[in-house]
Amino acid sequence: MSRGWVVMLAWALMLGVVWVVQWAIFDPDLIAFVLLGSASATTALMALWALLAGRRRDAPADEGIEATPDASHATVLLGITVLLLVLAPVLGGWLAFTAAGTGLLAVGGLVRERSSERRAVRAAREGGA
Amino acid sequence: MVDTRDTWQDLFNLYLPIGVGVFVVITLLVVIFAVRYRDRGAEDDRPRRRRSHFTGAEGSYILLLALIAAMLVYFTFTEMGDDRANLPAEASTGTGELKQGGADEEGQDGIQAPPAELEIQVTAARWTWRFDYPELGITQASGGGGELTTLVVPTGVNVRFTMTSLDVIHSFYIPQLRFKRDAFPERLTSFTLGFTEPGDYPKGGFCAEFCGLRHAAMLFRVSAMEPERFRAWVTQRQLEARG
Amino acid sequence: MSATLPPPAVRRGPRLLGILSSTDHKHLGLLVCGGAFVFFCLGGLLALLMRSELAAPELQVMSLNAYNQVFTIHGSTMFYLFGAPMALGFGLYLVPLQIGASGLRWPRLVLLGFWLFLGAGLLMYAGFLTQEGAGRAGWFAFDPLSDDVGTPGTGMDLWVISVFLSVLAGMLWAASILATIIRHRAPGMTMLRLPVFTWSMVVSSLMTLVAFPALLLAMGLLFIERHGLDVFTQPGGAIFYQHLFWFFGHPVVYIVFFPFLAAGSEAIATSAGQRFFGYKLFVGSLLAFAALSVSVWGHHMFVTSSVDNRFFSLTTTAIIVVAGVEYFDNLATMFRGRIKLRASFLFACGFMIVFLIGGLSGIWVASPPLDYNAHDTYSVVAHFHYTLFGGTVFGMFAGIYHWFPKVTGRLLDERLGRWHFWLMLLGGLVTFIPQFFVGEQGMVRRIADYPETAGWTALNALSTVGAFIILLSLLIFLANLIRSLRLGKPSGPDPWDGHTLEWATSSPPPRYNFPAVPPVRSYAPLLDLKEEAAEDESSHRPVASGEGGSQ
Ligand SMILES: [Cu+2]
Repeated sequence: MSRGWVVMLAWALMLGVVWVVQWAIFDPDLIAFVLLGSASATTALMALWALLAGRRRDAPADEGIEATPDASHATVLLGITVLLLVLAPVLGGWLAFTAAGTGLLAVGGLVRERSSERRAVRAAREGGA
Repeated sequence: MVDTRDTWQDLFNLYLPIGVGVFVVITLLVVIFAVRYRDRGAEDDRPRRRRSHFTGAEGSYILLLALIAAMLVYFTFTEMGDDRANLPAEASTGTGELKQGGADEEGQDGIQAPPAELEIQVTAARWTWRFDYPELGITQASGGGGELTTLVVPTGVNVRFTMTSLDVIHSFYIPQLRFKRDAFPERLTSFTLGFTEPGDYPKGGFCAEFCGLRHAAMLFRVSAMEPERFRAWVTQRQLEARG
Repeated sequence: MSATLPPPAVRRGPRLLGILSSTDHKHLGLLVCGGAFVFFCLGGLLALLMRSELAAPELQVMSLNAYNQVFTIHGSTMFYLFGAPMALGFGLYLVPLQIGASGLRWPRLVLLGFWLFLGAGLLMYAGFLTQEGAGRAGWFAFDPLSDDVGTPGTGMDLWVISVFLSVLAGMLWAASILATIIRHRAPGMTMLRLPVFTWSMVVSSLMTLVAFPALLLAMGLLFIERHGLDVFTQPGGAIFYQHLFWFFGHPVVYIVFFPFLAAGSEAIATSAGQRFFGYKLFVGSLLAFAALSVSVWGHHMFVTSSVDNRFFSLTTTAIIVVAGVEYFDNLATMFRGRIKLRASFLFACGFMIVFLIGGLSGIWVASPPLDYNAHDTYSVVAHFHYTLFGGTVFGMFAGIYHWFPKVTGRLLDERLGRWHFWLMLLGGLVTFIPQFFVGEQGMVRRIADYPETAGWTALNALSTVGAFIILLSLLIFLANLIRSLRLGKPSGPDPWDGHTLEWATSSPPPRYNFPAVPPVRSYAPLLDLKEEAAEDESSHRPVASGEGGSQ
């Protein structure tokens, strides 16, 4: 049912056309040439991802099963971990240690959320079948 | 002679009427449609729009837009070609020494740079300007204390500028010439300008690229002199330099 | 569709802590939009400080150093903390509703993005508390001015980190929105039946994913350079930074434009009571528009003597064609409609007129010889404020008046909305039109002071008056917002006779959005159903006005 990849490919081709015009008619410097080319290539890769993802059917949401918890405290902890990490080089290395702590908690929480999610999906599939 | 004001004026005369015209037409359409097609309540039996696309109208409209765009690009490119100062200037990196520009130089497009009759080296640094006249042995610099440097140029001849910066990016901007160029550290930028009218330019010159604390005060004066007065000025400055 | 898990037996009220860690796309969208709106107000206050300083020559309100911080944080706020988050935040809330999905794909990534965005905002403003002050190298922080020699201090470091985080957050949101559109559309919702707003999110997300990594790289390298390693100080490094920056910086002005263009288009189609005109062409031109806008970044570098000005002049001027199509389709959607002159429609019209000034002056500065004068002067300031104020802000308010009932279940007051609109239109014209004139006469950007002899005083004072008119209009909006949240008339699920799926569910929508998704047979599925119902009725009792307009 998903034709999203066609759109991405079309956009990649449009970028490709502009890219070709740039080097065929004009006189781009190396950076401009690489930037525009990589924009086109990145989009083409995303199109490929969308094509492949469209063939898989593993996500519970595809079957109408909602298993994501209403709140994810572990994700919030992960966000705080990232903030502490990027601040560490400016405000002091001790932040990195704090970040290690919150990071561990966050990962642990995420793993727990995922496993209970999987359990819920399994239960719903069995219940639905 | 290079005339950046003239180039700007030609394009101004083309772009302004088109822009104002399009603005008036579309604004009128928006207002007229909003008033004419407003909801008038239950007894309203005017005909509705029957189709939700109309390939013929859309196609010819796109063609019209493309023609306008093509015309603007054509005139812009033509003016850029006429005005040699607007070619991508020859720029080199790395060398600490300023190169001598000359009539034999080629722009990036292989078009000869216009013959320069006077060389001026521009050095920008936070937050002041220096102008060197290597052929004449003259240097124009600020005496300090917020005094502005004066760029003195002869009218009626091409002046070849070679520019660099000692610290961050600055931009050399003379509003009356409708012209500006960035000055980079470790890099030379060249361009040619012509000054048609003699006199002190009331607005002078600005640094147009934000360069830190006193960016607003990074100004310079511009004084254009007829060739004879310019020669007298040169002699006087050379005497001052010796004395 | 198989069974949905039953909601938890005891529904906790929307407590703040629950919302701040919620995975519901409606909470996430509200968090991001709410945060962005707070930063919009802060950025606006900084703008008022600047306008107060510029009302007369000499320094009255603040020091040079303070002014440099204020304009830097104003610009940075409006792009990194308001524009892009608000545009994508609209998408987070509305896209699942418009395509009949129960939520976003990867909601945790979106939540992570919100916290990074929140951190980004706090860190940027925390810079004001540091000894040297906040970031003060402009919102594009050109190297070498932005390196540790040009702008030393922790405040500037925080600025770099803040921009890095905000860009990262934007990418997470865009990835989630795009993946949702690709994988979670309701049955029958093909790509060519997506509502125009969702289409605008397709192209905005694509542009985000393609363009934002360039700034991520630039900020990473700038941070490294500020801490001892030479990166941009290599020969050509300053130009390399500008390429990376503008490769992000131009697309971003369209990312904050397309969603609000489409919000205006939806408001117009709904108010006119007829199907959006020229859908397929609109979609095609959006895609081409996005492709062009990734290819025009060099027009910010016309005066650096290091890009091929002709190429970037050509691509920029070509935007006339695609932008013209959007205007054509909006006007044709109004043609022969029965337009209800609601606040959302007025703001959409304001969008078309005010943005037009920005668009036409954009064509102007796309011509290099004209740009050699305009670049880095107030002409350019006026130009891009007309695109951002006209496009982003007017479009955002069209969207807010249009979707507020869906989000809250209450209507905003229409009379206050009209006052808001007319004052904002007046303020926008009085503020920025004078800036075209002082810019044309050579007044450069980013100066706290200008020579008295230049003759710019009256025009600057006028511009300052305009800024305070805008403030007044926003105060009216805030009053309307606060009043309507408590006392607004209940809207019901579909107050405007909507065309798209979000109007088929209750206001506000339930946790998983739709008890049942209506059939989708075009890009205006609800309009189809309403027209069918009208036909059924007219076969029993003929009416004079025939409902045409099937696609
Ligand atoms: Cu400067």
